Amino acid sequence: MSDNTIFNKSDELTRRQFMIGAAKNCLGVSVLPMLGATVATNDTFAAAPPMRRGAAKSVIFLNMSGGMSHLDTFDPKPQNQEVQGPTPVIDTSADGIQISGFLPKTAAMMRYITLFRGMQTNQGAHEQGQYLLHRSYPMRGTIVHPALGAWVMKLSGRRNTTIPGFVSVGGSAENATGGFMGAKYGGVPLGNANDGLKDSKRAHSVSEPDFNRRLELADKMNSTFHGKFKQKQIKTYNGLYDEAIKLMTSEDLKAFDLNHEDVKIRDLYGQNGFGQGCLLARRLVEHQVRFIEVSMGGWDTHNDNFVSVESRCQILDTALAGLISDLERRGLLDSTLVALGTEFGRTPEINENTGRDHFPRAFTCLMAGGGVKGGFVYGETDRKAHTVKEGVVTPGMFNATIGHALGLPTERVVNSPSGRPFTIGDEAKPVKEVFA
Amino acid sequence: MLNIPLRNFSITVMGIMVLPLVGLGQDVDYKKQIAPIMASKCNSCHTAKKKESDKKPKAGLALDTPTGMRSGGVLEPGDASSSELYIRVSLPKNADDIMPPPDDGSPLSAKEVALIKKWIDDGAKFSSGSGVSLGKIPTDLDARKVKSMPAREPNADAIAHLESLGATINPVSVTLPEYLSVEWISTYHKITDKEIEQILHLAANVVEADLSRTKVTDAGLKNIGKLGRLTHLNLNRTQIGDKGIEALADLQSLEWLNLYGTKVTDASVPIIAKYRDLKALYLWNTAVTSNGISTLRKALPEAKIVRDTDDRAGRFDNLEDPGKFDF
Repeated sequence: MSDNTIFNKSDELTRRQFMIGAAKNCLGVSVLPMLGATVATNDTFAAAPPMRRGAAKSVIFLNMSGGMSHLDTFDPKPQNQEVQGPTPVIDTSADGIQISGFLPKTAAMMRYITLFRGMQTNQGAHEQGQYLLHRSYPMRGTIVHPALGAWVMKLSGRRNTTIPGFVSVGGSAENATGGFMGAKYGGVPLGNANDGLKDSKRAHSVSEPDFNRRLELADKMNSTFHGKFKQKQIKTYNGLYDEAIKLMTSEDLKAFDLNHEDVKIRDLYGQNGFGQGCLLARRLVEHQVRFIEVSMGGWDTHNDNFVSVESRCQILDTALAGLISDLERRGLLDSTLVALGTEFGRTPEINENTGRDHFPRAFTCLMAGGGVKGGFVYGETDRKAHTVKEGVVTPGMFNATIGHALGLPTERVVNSPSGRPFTIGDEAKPVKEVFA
Repeated sequence: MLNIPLRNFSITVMGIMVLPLVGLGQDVDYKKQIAPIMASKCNSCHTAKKKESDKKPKAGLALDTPTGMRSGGVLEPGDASSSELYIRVSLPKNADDIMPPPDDGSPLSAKEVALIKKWIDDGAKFSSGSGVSLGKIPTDLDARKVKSMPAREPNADAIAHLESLGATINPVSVTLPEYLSVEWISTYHKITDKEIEQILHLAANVVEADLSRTKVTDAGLKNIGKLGRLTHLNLNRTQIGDKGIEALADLQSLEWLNLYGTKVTDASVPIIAKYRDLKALYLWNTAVTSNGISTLRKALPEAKIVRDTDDRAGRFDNLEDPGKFDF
């Protein structure tokens, strides 16, 4: 089976590369090297209606890569100095909820946020942990599971059919994989928010009339060809042209260009990669992109935990609070779920390097907007933040909850090409208690 | 692994059979060719509940109306081989999942399967295409009249007509197929009052309208003011002002209203204050003053009224009175 799959995939890639090359040479355009993989095959599928009225339309998934310390961010234990260390603790805008003093702006936004303090995973290594977080299933040698964004594409389709429905900013390209569902459902990985979409403009050397003439010519040659060879594959590649052209001439392309933002707004999110990624995410939500992931690394604080976490928190705090408040004043927060996840927490015990090590048994993730309650905590750890006392949530449950927020049929089974059944949350149920 | 070649094989076989059975050039007509197949082979189980005593459609899937079919998640327009509807009726006769189940009816004929395949591959269109006359929009519509009209199966030709004008139209949920949202997602910059007026063809069905960033004018809002069932209206970053809001005075079902980036002022406050069902109101980047906001808060104590956050950026650490964060 695997031999056959690899063969098919590489074959497809070669042909796609050929088509992209042909488009470049014949039409004088490059067809979005990264985008090509996505647009190539999904020329028609559009959004399916949600299972319930008022469901969220978009998700912004903030991926804290490296394992974010729960004690030093969203689950502090001020009564227990031994595990808390020097991290300060502050009140928030939600009664009775305290978080780390490294997150003052987020504290002000707490009345929009639900904390999941009972997160638990069975993966203690980064790659496996990130895999489970994104795909709800443990890593296996025999199959590549689709990322959460691909599930969203599969179960509900795109709302804006001109631009990709799933975009991943920063972080590993793996986080955007369509897995066994195929590239059709995968996301577009963008390295840096400030770069926008590469190669999506008409080359300067080709004038607009000239460009249109070339298109017409290509079209004529194509229609003869299509008339003779009516195959799905060919239709698919024709779709690639159509979509690339639609995109090059669309208003939606502006969504990818942060230069359209006022400097005050850019400052609101923080002038750094993650902050600008969150701003890009908001712009994409305004253009009805379904699923945007923004990654931030540097949470693997084995050494010097308190200094490192504080500096990470400065970036996270500004970006997260800026994102929530900017979405809210634009009227987007009701229909946009902001979810923040990490692969595991960090040990309550402080190690000899003033660091904290990997801790899968208990950690915190959060959600805001998209119909979830504000100023709410689901789950609780013991006095040392060591064990989940109640409200255990696995990555699969977290992902099913995201699916529920979007009004997706979370129980729907999608079969892999080998006929094995999968669901968005590995059969886990959504945590419905967090919805208002 | 073993069962894919089987499924692919059946699709391949059907694919080959399609050519002689269905003329390649002709469009498949939903009303004349697809609906009768559904009626004879599917609708004895998959029919929408019409009255309380009716049983629920099997698997929650109603295949007797265009909206039921559109919202059931069984169609991927343009791609029959990914569409559950086609996959399930084209399985080998002894397959576990074949529809209709052997006990409930006979399988579809090869010609019926081929028709369904072609219809989906061509985009699963419900309207009969060009040349259909929608008739004139009645001139005497008003919000009250619209609200008293029964919300029936939306007119597929009207949906197709609006879609041809760049609109995206969807049922608000799978369970409410007769209630529609209308929005202009990538086409907003080209949309004027002329296109927007065409929503009135679906007046009894539209409950959510997103006109943000379109070229809608105060005069054009006269037509929106007739959509008596409207609960959600998004006008952000349009050029509309107080005159336009005046034209919306009869929209007494409004629950969610986004006016950020418009020219509305305190002059609109008395009209907005009468929207008793309002749950959320967005007024960022408008000329509505603090006085206007407090009048609204008094009149609508349950509503969330969101204004400026700009001047508070960077001052989120003032937690002495978190209730003061008025956005």
